[in-house]
Order: sequence, then C-alpha cells, then structure tokens
Amino acid sequence: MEKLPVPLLELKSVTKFFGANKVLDDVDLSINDGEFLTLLGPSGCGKTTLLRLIAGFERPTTGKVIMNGKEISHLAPNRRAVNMVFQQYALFPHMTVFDNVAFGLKMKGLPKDEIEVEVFRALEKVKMNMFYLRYPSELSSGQQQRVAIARAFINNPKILLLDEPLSALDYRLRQEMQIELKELQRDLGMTFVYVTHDQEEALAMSDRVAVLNEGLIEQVGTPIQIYEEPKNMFVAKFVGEINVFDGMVIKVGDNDFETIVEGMFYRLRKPSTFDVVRGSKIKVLLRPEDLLVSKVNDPEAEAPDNALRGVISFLVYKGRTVDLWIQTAGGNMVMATQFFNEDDPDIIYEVNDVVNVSWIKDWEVILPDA
Amino acid sequence: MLKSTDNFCRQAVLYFIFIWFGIMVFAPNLLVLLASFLSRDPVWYLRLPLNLQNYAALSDPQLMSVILKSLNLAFCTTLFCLLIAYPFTYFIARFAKEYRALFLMLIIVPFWTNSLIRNYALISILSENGLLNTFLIKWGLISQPLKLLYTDLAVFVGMVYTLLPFMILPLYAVLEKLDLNLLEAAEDLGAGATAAFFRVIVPISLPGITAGCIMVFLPALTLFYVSDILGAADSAIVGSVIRDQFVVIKDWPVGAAINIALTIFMLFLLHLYYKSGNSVDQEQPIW
Repeated sequence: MEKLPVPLLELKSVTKFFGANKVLDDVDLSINDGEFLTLLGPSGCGKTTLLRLIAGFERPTTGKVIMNGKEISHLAPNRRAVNMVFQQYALFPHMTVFDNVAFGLKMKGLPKDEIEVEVFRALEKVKMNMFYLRYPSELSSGQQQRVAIARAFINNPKILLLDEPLSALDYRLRQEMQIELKELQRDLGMTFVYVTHDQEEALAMSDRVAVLNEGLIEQVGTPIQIYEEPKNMFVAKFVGEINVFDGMVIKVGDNDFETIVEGMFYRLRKPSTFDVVRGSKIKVLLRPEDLLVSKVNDPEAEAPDNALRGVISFLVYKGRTVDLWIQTAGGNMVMATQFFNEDDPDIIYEVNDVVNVSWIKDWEVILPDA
Repeated sequence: MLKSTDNFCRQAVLYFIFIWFGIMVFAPNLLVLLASFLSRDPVWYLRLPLNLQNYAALSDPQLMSVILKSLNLAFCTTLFCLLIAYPFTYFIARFAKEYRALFLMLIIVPFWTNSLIRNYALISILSENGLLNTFLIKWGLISQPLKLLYTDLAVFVGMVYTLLPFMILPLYAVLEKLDLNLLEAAEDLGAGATAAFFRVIVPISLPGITAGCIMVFLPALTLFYVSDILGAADSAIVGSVIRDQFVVIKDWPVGAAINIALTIFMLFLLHLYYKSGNSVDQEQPIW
C-alpha cells in the first residue's frame, strides 16, 4: 500500500483580508516534507500573501497555519523554523557577505568558529566563498541573489520560502539559476516553497504546482497534471498556450460521446472529471504542440474525418519550432506549434497555405462550458 | 566638439566651487588664524608683531571651566536631541507620503521666525509667572513657582529647542530611505525587535546620526545668544567668551585664538569619527 506523505505544513481554510479587500479566500493547502512546491499565479492573486503567512509576516484573518501538527498562525517570524529569500534580496547593506550570511546563526548564539565553518560551507554551495569580504553594493544582482539564498538556507529551516527570487535577473541567468536552485534543493533535501508568475519557471522546477487566482487555489498538481489535465479554464489558459473550441454534445455513450466542433463531427472519450450531458455545451482544449498540421494540395477536396480545414494567416519562426496561426473555416484562430522534422525537410509552411488541422485522439481536454 | 564643451563646463563648475570655497571658507578662516598670532591694538584691534601669547590665554582656569561646562552642555544637548529626534523621525518616515511632507513642513516653519525671537518666546514660558509654572500650579503639581528661567536648565531647553530640527532633518534623510524589507529579513533570520533595531536600523542610519550630531554639537558650543537670553550670569558658553573677546573686551587676537582652538578640537572629533567609521562608509554619507 502506498504510504501517504505526512504534510509538513498545512493551511486550513485560511482567509486573509486587507481592509475590505479579500486577498485569500478559504485556502487549503498541504506542503509535504522535502518537496519543491510552487505557488503560481498572476500578480495580485494572493501568492505572495500566502508566502508571507507561512513566514509569519501576516496573520490569517480566519483559518490556521499548522506545522508538524502544531498551530503556528500567531507565531512571530523569528520563532518559526522557516526562512525567506526576498524578492529584492533585502541584504543588509552595512554588512559584508560573510556577516549577512552569518546573521541568522549569530542570532541563534552559535560559537564563532562554528559560524565560520557553516558560513563558508553555505557560501561554497552557492559559489560565493570568494566574495565573503564584499559588500552587497559591490556584487551583481545574480551574486546578491546567491548570497540571499545562502543567508536563508544556512539556518537549516524546515521550509525555505522564495518570493520571485529570479524576477530581477536577465533571461540567461534566470535559466541557469532555475537549474541551480533545483539542484540546491535536492542537495539540501529541504522543502522549498517558491512564488512566481512565470509558468515556465513553475513547470521546470517544481514537484508540485499550486495555481492561484484571485485568492483561490484553482488546482494543485504535478507540472504534468497542471499542463496536461487542467481542471478549469483559468489553469488551462494561464499555464502555457491553449486553443479552445466550443462543442455541443449530441449523443452520450458508455465510454465516449459524440459532439460537433467547428461544424465537424467528433467522437471523443468521456472526461472523468464531470458528467457529459446530451445537449450541453462543452469546451474542447488543445495545446498548440498537440495539433497536427498537414498541407492540402487540392483545396477542392473535402477535409478528411477529424480534421479542420484552415488557412495559415501568419507564422513565427522560432528555430526549433514554427508557430502557425491558422484561420479555420469556422472563423476561429487556432495556434499550432510544429517541430521541424529532419526526415521530412520539404515541410515549409507559408502564409495563405491551405492546411488540415487534426489531433491525436484522446489528447484533448474536455471542460464544461461554464 | 560636444565633449570639449562638456569638459569646459565641468572645469568651469569646478573653478567656481574652488573660488567660492576660497572666498567664503578658506580666506575668512585664514584671517582668523592670522589674527590669532597678532597683537592687540586699542584702535586698530590688530597689529604686529606676531606672537604666541594669545594661545597662552587658553590656559586660564576660568576659561577652561567655561569650555568644559560648554562641552558638557553641547554633549547633553546633542544626546537629548538625538533621543527625541530619533523615534520622532522614525515614525514620521513611516507615515504615508503626504503626511510626511506635512510633518516636515511643520518642522521647518519655525525657521521662518528668527531664532532669537523664538528664544525670547521661551522666556514667557519659563519665567516665574510664565505658562509652565502657571499650569503646574493650576494642576496642583507644585505650590510654589519653580525657578526655571535664568538657569543652566533654561539654556539647555533653549539649545534643544533651537537645534532639534538640525537633528531631525539629516535623520529623516536616511530613515525615509530605510528599506522595510531589511527589518523583515532581520526578523525572519531570528532577530527580535531590539536586535533588529541595534544591528540593522541603527547601523544603516549611522550617517544620519553622525550628520545630525555634528550639526547640533557645533552650534551648541557657540550659540551665545541662547545662554545670554535664558541663562544666568555664569551660564556663559564658549561662544559667549569668544563674542566677549571680540565685542566687549575688544581683544581680537585672544578671541581668534580661542576660536582656532575650538576649530582644531572639532577637526579632531571629525577625524576620530572618520577613523572609526570606515566600515559604515559603504553607504554614501549624506552630507
């Protein structure tokens, strides 16, 4: 039997008001020991507030924060076994890198020689040991970032909280740091709770992702679940690109149902998440990379079964892939990402090409039409 | 082409600053220095020959006791100003922007009235039948009016009152910029309120503290009219002594010598500060 992981931290129906403004709405969330959990959402969705609730900078208006079975909702930040990496790093400008990283251990009252060993060990992990005598103003933002991370994890917290730590870095550095952070997390075996609005970052780094919107958790799941099985339209649209088709259910069978999409007849597998009712409207969702595009040589010929006829209205060449925007006969704009196939070099798309658009059966996501 | 005009402008500004400093700072001080080595003349105030006699006057025990008393007053004034101004400024700096502007305005408004007149106003508060005594008696806290005016305490009150804004403004300049995230970071790393205050806020605001202390301490030694208006006959401060040498006794060389001695003492204090403050100079000083 699979053993259920014991949650390290639980948020139980946490609601937070700032004045009359409801920032978090009855949030339930469990964080498992050792996992990399990302809180993903647009700005103003409450993700930073959620992080600050865990850190202790905010108190829940109602609800509980529970760590290892003990309620800590009203415990001050300096009494919680969590540490935070701030968005703007918040390094102490009057202290050297060494003193910044040593601050937490000094507060704990560790002996000096022990602090020294620990600080250099931490700085080595973030490759900053050469810079221990520098002041934050003498470091690049990437280096400041590393110091801020070392300053937090050196205290060996139960949870390390990271508030959009990479947002101030340029694209290249961000990519590097994503990998390094993930490696660091594995190396330390520490629970990371990471806040970001960047869905790519969330998918790349996390064990689990919690998607937030307007103070509500829309979905919690692995990156694959979030991307491939979005529970609702918000998650589907926020995480990655997606094409949305309207459908009408015309017949419901045991395992599949029949529907009309863009004037075409389709037989699709019944979704497990809700009951498909005859005559109801549904949404059929497809990722751009799940669409198959084939050029039509004879535009007079009828489109084959399960294919939509369309015209390429513009395309964006991206090196490894090409993004096609296809105007369908039904008047919708569909985006399809095609990988270049080494074996088939003659596939060169051009604007105004007539194409058939289809997809591999069962790769679609069916959602009720809200 | 552009570069050379650019260069010219920079040069011009530099020259202007040098000339300005030369006329306004260097020349006057040089004149005082020169005067301190000249001899007294009953008509022309100064005459040759050069001598060191004037500095011998510094060893006068009476002058020495005035200097010590004056230093004590200046020290107490500075400390008290800091103790009042720091929390006050800290809380102002935490207010919303529009309120901050208002508070700063209220601090600056009294400057528009001559500080001499404001010190005269203190007389009506501190005198035997003044506002303070009247209220204290009315509330039954005392039965006899207190002797406040023409005491060292009154001089102290006058000094603090006059110089407080000079402590508040430089403190405000640093505390307004204080990044509150730093406080949260300190707290997050296990620091209680006291530790966060002394290990983070105070060190970061040290440039403001120093600037404020210098701006209060120096005038507190020399603002003679405060002790003239509010003090007793023996409340004279260094400033009064220098003033008397120049205006009453008309012994300019000795007055200049005391002045030079005071300047050297100040420079010595500044030197001590810079030597001790190497580690905090990371943040640019605000003056």
